[in-house]
Amino acid sequence: MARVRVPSLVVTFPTTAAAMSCEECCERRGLGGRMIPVPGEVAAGCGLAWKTAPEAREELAAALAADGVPVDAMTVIELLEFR
Amino acid sequence: MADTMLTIDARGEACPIPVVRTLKALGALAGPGAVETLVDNEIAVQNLTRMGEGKGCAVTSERLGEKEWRVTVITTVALGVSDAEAESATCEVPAPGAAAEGPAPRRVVVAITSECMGTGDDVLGRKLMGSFVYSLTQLDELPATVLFYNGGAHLSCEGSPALEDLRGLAASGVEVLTCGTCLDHYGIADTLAVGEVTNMYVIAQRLTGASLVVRP
Repeated sequence: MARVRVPSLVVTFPTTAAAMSCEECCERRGLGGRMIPVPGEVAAGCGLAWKTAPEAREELAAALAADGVPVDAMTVIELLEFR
Repeated sequence: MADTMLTIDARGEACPIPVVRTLKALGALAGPGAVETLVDNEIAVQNLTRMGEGKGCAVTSERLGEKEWRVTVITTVALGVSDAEAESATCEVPAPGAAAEGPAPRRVVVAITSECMGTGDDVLGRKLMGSFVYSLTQLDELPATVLFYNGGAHLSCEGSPALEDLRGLAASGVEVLTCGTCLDHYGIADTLAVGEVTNMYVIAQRLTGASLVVRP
């Protein structure tokens, strides 16, 4: 199986608790995505981020706003995926 | 007495070809049996012996002539050997002169012993371990082996949040092994979802044969 670089939406948060709230929010609403460590291309330092498809940006942003989950930034970068 | 016997004539073939062909034959047995491989050099005997013992098999070798050996690898269980694993086989004992070609490749082994990374908050610890396994998929150089034992055995079983990443790693040639004693202890042997069951001999071999062991 090959690893290929795929455009991905990476959402960062001000706190780890906010990242966990995002995961709960997405699971409850059936939104796709997964928790990953914050990629170095997005921000320096340590933290948890949410990774999903770029086309999910609007729906995710609306869900997080509705649930009051604070967001630092939404960035599209290429990440390796198994294909 | 072995149930099924396959014979391979690998005389005249350089390593890792005898190891690759023997691994594929072991997988093709799909159950208890033996693979008998004929080779023409002692280095191949050593590499076949290491490979067989690494798989938890009984291995015997016999010199048949000045340049002919027979190595018999006997398994009592079905060995799941993918083509990718067989094709990626390497020779741990280099052929004479091979050392001059450069340093031996690193053999990184990741030993996961718990569902949690670190201590303090288990909820956070599980998130961190999931992040760690994901991070393995992003490395330029994938590890050779990921071992799971004690509480870590849960991560390779159904319901684990790390399954998707582990399946990708396994499909890319990373050896994923989970301690059978641990699976039995936790009552989750029927739920192993990625890689193979292994025993303490193989775990000890992988850990001591590693150039680097990473324990998150």
